[in-house]
Amino acid sequence: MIDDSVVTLSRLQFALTALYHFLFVPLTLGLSWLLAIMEAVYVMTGREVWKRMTQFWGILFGINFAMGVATGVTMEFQFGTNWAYYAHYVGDIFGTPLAIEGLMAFFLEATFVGLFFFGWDKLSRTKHLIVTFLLALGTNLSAVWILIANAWMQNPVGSEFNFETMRMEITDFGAVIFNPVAQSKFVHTVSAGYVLGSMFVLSISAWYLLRGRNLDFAKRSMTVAASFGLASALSVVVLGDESGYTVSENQKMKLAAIEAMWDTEPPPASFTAFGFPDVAERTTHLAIHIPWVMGLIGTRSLDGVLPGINQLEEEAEQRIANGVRAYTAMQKLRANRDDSEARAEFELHKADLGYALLLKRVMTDPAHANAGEIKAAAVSTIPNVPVLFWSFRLMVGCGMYFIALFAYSFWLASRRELDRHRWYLKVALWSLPLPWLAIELGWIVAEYGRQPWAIEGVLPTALGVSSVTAAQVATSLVGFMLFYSALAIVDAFLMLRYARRGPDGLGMWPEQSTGPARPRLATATH
Amino acid sequence: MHAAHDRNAGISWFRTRGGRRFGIEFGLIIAVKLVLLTVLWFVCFRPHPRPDTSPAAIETHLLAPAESSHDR
Repeated sequence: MIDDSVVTLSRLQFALTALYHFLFVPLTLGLSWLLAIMEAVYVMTGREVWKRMTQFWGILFGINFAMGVATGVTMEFQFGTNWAYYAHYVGDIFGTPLAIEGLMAFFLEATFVGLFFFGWDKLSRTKHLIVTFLLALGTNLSAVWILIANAWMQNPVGSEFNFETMRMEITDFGAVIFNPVAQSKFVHTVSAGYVLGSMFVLSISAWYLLRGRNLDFAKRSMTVAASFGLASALSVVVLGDESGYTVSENQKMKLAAIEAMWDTEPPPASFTAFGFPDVAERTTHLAIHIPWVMGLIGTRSLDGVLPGINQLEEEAEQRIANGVRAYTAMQKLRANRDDSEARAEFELHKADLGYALLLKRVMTDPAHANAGEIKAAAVSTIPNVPVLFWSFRLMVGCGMYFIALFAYSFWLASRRELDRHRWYLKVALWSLPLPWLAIELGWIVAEYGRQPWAIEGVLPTALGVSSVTAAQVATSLVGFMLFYSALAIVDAFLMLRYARRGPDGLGMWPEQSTGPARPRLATATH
Repeated sequence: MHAAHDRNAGISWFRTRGGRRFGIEFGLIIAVKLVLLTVLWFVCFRPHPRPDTSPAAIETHLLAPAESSHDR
């Protein structure tokens, strides 16, 4: 029996834990490479300040790592508790990259975190630098395997449904690993993490300059952050374009919803820069269209067609009808495995079996669906258009802002004028939350846009939930919220305490070496 | 690079009083978190019955008519 409140609460619980977990992950991804860059400069130049910079930012990295580690474990709890049918249906495939991530990447990352902090006196400079690089590599390898698992949910390749075991099974592990969606998601996600890491260093360093503290230290940090941040911000946009292209190939409804493209336009389709999507009227009010742009981005051609929501809904109706045939044939096959006619029918339509399962939300037996029920199920394939439309535009707007801010920072750094304008330092400081906002919006676009599917075209989200009660899910949801709220308070307290104390307060870098407070230090050595 | 030059000079900040305190806090955070996660498991999850994922239950879930909230 499908209970909508269980589905809603389970989705809410997973969304909250995933969004919370991803407050920590991108900062780990970005800061780890910044540490490697700073330490590489230390090894090359032998200048003590670069070592101290690595150690200071390493402290903030360590707090973030310690607070973030294991917050993802709760999502794995949920696969067993709230998403038992999901875990059964696709566990053979989805579980594999998760297990590899735990065994290979996480252990590598955890080992080198220990060596990074406690190996300074035990290892030579070069060996410690290798440790820091391997730490960064480990964090990125973690992301690879998680994103391979996630990409399979968006584009389920290398697998097929086995009606005898009633679950999906791997047919080509190579296809799962080299899923084009995984590749584009990985590079887009990690480069977004690099932007966050850069903004973190830039903003806190800007605060030191505003306070007239740790001037040399902060300016060096800002120079590294501006350079790495500019390259990363440019990469995010370019690689985001690649990610969008894979969506246009595999998740046409998601793309149409992001664009609020209700009807198919003559190619090349326009990009809607602004507007107010109206779901009831199926139109976008006050829309500002930029000709050709969406067609060029989405199809990389002048004649590629991007289908609109209304057309995709009609296609979904046809696929649901085909899925019902597969569903009926599967019932016959399970009653009599030698029924060759049913087997042929099943093989012909099994690609659309998942679409028949959408009917479970609107009727009791998909095998007896009528036109009205098929139409209702087809309507359910449209995700929440206004949420996707605005989330995407806010994310892109943030991305463009990051390019501008890092480009200006880079220009100032190249002229050794990072401390010239207080307004710039204030802007850099108050920009700190924006990469987190952009990243979370990106995940909302990716995951909310996949609805109503848990596995695109294969398993509706509603069918993945466990046979538990809403009260049980609510209990664990409250537990998670208490746990995560406590963690967030401790995290904010520790981060603020160590950032406020700074390299001078921690006795890492002598205050006197940074010169007098406030005056512009355009002549300071970089 | 010469071995002498390659050696990390001086005492690491992590060996100082502040560094040791950071190390203790780092370890404590992880330890407390693991304890809290364990408590969370036993308080919020352990008391509930396990979802039925036997082959028969899966077959019922996917194949047999399922009553949904829309039908009620």
